[in-house]
Amino acid sequence: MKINLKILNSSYISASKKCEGLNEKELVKNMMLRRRLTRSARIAIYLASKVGYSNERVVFGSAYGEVKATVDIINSIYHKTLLSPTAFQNSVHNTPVSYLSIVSGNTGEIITVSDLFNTSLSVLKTGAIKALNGDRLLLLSIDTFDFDGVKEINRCNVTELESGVALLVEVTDQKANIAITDKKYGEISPSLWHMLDVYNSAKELDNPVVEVEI
Amino acid sequence: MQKNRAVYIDKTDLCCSAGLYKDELFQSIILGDTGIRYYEDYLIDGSTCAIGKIVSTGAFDTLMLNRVKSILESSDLDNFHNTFLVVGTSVGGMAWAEDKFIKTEGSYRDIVLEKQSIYSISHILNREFKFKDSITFSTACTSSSNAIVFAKELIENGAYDTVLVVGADSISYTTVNGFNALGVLSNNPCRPFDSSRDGMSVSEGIGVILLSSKTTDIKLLGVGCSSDAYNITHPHPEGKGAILAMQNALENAGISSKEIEYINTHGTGTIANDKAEGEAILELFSHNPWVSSTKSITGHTLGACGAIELIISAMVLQKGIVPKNFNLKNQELAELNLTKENISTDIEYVLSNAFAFGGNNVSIILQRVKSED
Repeated sequence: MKINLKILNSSYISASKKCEGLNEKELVKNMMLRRRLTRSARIAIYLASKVGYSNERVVFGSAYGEVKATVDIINSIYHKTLLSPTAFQNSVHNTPVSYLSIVSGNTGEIITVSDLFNTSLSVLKTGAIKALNGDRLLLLSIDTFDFDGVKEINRCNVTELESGVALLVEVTDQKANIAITDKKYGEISPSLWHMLDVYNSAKELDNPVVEVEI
Repeated sequence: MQKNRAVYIDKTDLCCSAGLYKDELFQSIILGDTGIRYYEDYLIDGSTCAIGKIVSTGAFDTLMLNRVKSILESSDLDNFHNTFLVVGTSVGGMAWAEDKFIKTEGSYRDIVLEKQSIYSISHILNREFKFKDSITFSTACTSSSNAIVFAKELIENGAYDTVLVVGADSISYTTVNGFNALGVLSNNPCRPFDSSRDGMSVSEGIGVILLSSKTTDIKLLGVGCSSDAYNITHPHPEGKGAILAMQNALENAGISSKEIEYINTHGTGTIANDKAEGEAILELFSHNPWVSSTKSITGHTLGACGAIELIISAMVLQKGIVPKNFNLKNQELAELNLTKENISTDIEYVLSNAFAFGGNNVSIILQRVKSED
């Protein structure tokens, strides 16, 4: 089945170490909540604001989750020190978009998919099927993995340790002018490549429409 | 494009601490034979915990492959080459990664992402069965429920005729100690809806469901999703997210709340979940449908629980037995129609709930298809 998605808006951010200028104070007024936000949650809230998100259903993708939290947990287990409850709750893959739902008061469907290097492709496919309901969806793909020891496991030689891409989409009957490709973006986590490629194509077009095959 | 095709449960199988196969589990549920046992080697503070570990000579991955193989062999399919695989898991290969990390004295050098990540379950299954395509859902304890929702959408929109859902989560130090750190792990087998309940029992499990456009005796009638938008670890105290998910499922099913005869709850045994879920059920279902939690038998199988409990719900319809609440002595919410005994009855509609961290909620409704003769 082929489903065409009209890209209503899109945004992208990345940094070699830590994304700055995420406008947290403006976007998350509650200081206690703001302080609890994970790195991916901050990026999710920022990207959502950039594409004009207004509590649409959300499909989020992350290949690795909050790696820093997972690393903290596995080290606690190895050294037999007490686990941080915060690290545990933050290690859950859908935590970033759960924070987005809390900040925005979104009581709709919010889901997370994770398929390693095909993660953002899975976001597009999942979003395409969900979009057949006729509503707008926010598609997000984010991965952050700045932690001590990242060099030991960074076998793809990713140089941007934080990156995220957002697409606000709806289903359309219009002809597609973007095809999903397997283009590589070496410096970025491969989990984002498919959506990043769509983002790069979309920003060059007046009326971007991507064809998703599932 | 074919729209709104009906979706049916074709084949199911499972594996958990209280039953290596679905009929074995249903027998355990009816007899009150819990799979939750005491272990001394999981909590890093050295204390004893009660968890549901599968006792088998086979490794977890082997058990999962065997259950999927048994589904294939009992189906009309020659292979899964035109079937879409939807996986639901919350920890993926975490147990494998913990083992590697400890054996290499705290080094990441042997951590392989295909085996450590959430994707690991899909990786194992795709390598063996070569599915047409696959997607993995990871929304904590609603992972396999969201997988079922997506599987329904794939079939009803005509994208696929058959979709295999696999919910799978194995016991790991991370989950046992993580829930203990949050203060929601009980020292004893959990007691859902009991006034003296003190937490959940972390467990492992595998649930496999083959969904199809082909008519069978169980219809996947309705699904509903919602978010609490309230707190990362605590459900909305009045169960507002749970109410919304159940309302959405009823709307999707096209039936009224009065038609639901049995609710298989999320019922974890934590103080917060059971109170919120119980209040939500009382708010929405004024006609007192039967209510039970089967987690006092299976434990909380995390990302697999949605699939496992939907299989249990299907068996309730097929066998005509509503199970009792094992380990329930003094119920907290007196108005809730919690079953005290197994009830033989002929029912048509059941609703199964699954709720998760971050206020992620899914409700699913099944209908027993009456034979025409």
